Amino acid sequence: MAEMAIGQQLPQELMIEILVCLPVKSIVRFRCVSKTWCNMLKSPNFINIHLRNQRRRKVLLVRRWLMPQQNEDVLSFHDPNSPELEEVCPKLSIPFPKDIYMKYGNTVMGPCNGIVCIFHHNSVILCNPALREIKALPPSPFGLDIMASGFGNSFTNDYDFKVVLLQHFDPNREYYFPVRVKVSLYSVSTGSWKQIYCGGGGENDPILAGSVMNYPYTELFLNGVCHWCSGHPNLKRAILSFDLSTEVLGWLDYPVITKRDIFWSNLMVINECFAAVWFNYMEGEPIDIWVMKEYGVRESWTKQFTIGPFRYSEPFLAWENEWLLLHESDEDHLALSTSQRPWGPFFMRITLNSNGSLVQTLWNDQHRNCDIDLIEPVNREKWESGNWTSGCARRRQLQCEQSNNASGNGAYAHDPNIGCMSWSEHLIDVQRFNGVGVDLYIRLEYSELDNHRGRRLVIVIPVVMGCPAICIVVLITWCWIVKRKGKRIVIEKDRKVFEPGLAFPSNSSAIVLRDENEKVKIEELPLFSFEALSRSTDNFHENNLLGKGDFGPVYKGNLANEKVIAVKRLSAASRQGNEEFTNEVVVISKLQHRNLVRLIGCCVEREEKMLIYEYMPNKSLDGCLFGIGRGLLYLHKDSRLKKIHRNLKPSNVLLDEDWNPKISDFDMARIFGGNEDHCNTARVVGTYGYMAPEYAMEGRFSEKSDVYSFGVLLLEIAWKLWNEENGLHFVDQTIESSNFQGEIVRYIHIALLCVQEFPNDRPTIQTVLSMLGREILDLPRPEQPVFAEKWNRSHVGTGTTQPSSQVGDSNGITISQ
Amino acid sequence: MAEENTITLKSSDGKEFLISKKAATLSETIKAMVEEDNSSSVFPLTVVDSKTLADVITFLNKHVDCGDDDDKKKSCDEEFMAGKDDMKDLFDLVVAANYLDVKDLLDLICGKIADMMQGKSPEWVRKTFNIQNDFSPEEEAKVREEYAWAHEGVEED
Repeated sequence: MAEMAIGQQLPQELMIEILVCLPVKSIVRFRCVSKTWCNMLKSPNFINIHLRNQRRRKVLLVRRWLMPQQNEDVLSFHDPNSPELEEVCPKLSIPFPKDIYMKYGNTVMGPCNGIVCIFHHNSVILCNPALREIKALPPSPFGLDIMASGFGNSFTNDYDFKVVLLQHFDPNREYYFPVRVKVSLYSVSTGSWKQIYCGGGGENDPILAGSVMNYPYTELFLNGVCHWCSGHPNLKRAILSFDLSTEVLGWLDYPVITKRDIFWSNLMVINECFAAVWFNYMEGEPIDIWVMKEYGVRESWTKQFTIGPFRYSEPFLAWENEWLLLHESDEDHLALSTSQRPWGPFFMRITLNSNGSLVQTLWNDQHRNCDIDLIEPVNREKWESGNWTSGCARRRQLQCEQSNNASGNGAYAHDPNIGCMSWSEHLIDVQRFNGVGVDLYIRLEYSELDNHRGRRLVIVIPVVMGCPAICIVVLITWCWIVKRKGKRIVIEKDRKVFEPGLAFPSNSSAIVLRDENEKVKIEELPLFSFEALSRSTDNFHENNLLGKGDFGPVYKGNLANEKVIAVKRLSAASRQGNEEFTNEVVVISKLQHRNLVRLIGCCVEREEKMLIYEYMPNKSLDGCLFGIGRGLLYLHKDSRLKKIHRNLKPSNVLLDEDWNPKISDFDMARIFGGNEDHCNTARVVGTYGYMAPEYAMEGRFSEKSDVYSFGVLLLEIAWKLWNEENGLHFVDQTIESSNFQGEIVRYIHIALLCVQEFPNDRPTIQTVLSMLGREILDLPRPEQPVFAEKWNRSHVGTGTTQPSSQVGDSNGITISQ
Repeated sequence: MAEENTITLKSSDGKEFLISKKAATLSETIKAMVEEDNSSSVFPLTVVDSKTLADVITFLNKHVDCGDDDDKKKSCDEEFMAGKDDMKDLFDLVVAANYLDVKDLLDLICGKIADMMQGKSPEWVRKTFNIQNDFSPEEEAKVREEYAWAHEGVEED
């Protein structure tokens, strides 16, 4: 004890003054000086003082960072949300020799040359010693990404944090990649991409999932249905996966190697549009990354991996060479072409539908046809127009499908390293390589065999191989049936495309049809023959042209019974024509209202698709608002299914002989489920100027988007009336001018209410009707209409908190004239 | 006039130091004393010995000369701290600075002591600050293991 007296015991408050100047590492170390110190150093009080002191001293700290040899002097910073001392510890401090960017939520900060410190709860400090600048950020609810631009780099995760260092391969790409990630030993799933990235998202979002239970394997789910997978790795050393979210650390090789730092791989969500699968087979081998979109692989990148294991304490090293783009699909519709690596996993999207009879595929872009000979596109029209989503099917359905379950095989292949692989439903992980790989055996209807003897594919013949005569009989019968039911089959074939579960979220019509498919019978509508329609319109003569719709011209036609019709001929060139057509038929055939145009029938023959409407002799006119309003009200509220028209404008309101307005053009109409209020769409259709800002900009639409269009319509009419009143003196004599002016003001007022920026502020069409009908006399003051440029994401979902507009009383302006 | 602008500080061992009022009142403690007792010109500081008081006065004078410029202050501080690496002296200074309530000096010395501590082992800290280790060996081993990373790269005592 006596020799201890060399030291001097300082009063505790003074000791604290000294200790708060220490970096975190020392503070943590000195916890084992004594129990008293341990408690003191862990106390929230101490941590708070330490925090304050560190902030006060940060300029000094910056100076210290300039001296990298003092590696203990990492920046220390406190996470104010957590009282624990651990929170003071930086999880990691990384010096960056090049520019770094930090992505915080959706904001990208930087570039900044300096040091990044990452803390628990994702709080991060970005500091720039040269500028003596420190940026501290509060914890992000979305996690944090730090990007090192143009600079491949890596670090290990000794302290278990959720931050991902990102790099980008190419400045022109809209995404960044993680530099280093954890690997899970278990099956993992990324969850909804949107949900991870921006907190929203829904069950229809793509989900990437992986498993290493038996072998590394990755699958991509859409709407809960797997429609892409990585395939079985067929080398013993092959490896995959996985995820940050599971927090499970582990490196797995196949079949057995577990050596840290040699290998890593992962699935991860890059942003709301992209996810990535990336993997490194072996130390020294190239590292591969696939950039995933919801349809599968969009790009694949590779990079020679030159640097060995990284450790926290070791110097920070960069990968020397740049990333190399192996393949890229030039459109989102395209799947990726073959990998150059013969040992790479297969990828090609072929999907059998739930009953096992269809093969769906996205072939690579060099083979824009089905290159397995005996299957062909399900929907040739779509296929040829470049939309391959509906895939391919066996040319002839198996007649012995029930035995599929027994044998378990729709297709199989054998690989010496893997063993026997069989597919009973989804043939989604197959790819053709040049000269390598194994043969794929697909079970086909035996009647195909005669025609395709000697093809490359080996066909597994069903056990029963009746006499050739039976084959011929079957063929003949089949051909006869096809011929006889020509029209019907065309329709049914179209409808097959919209089988449940095959719909893509971006495909709005498909969603509609998924709900409606079973209930609607197109066959109930009168079918007109092409010939009859051609005759009635004088071979679609120009003189009979009434106008051009969004999907094709409309002709006037006279039927033999003297009935006058309007024929809408869908243009063959229109890629989406088929879907839109079916949609319109479905929607209109279910609607009956005096203010809606009535569908008389349709025509589906060969490439021709036509709709036959009742003829409206007065064409369209921009009047009779009540009728329009009531028609809308019917669509929104009174009909059995809620519908959003999405393309309301004067030219889509037609007038009959009695000048009754009728809403037409339901191509864009979208049926809502009972409890849905709004929806998103990737395909914004409609007419600019009439579209609500949230719809035009973001694809969000609701019945209020129709209200917006209605408001624009009102404004147009009001403007017209205004001009007539003031300039042209065309006003109808029966309208008293004094009332008339008040009417215009009222129109404009209501219209302004309809075109307010926030959907929530807009009245429902019901209320609008009451306003027009003077059931509601006191109108609320409208907010200032928004200009499209002003619209941005931050407005979404906010309420009426917009400060009161300075535009003042629009009415006043009008009246003062 | 000159007398009015200076005061005398008397150390615990009886030595007297003349210092300008402006410099002296950088210490909150002296400032309070002066305000309380306008008539006296000698203030006894019973807990500060002459060696330490001389250092403190040097610091206060330097700070008056340096003014408010941060960079200048920093170079003054560095000048002042040069050669001060005896732990005993630093302890005396920090106690004096604390007693006299000279914030800048306190920060400076605390920072200096912390700088000297930061690479050191817990054993060194115990010895230097005369702290009783009340951990059992098992407890200490456990704490050490828990924060093993913090014990990397510790200087030899």
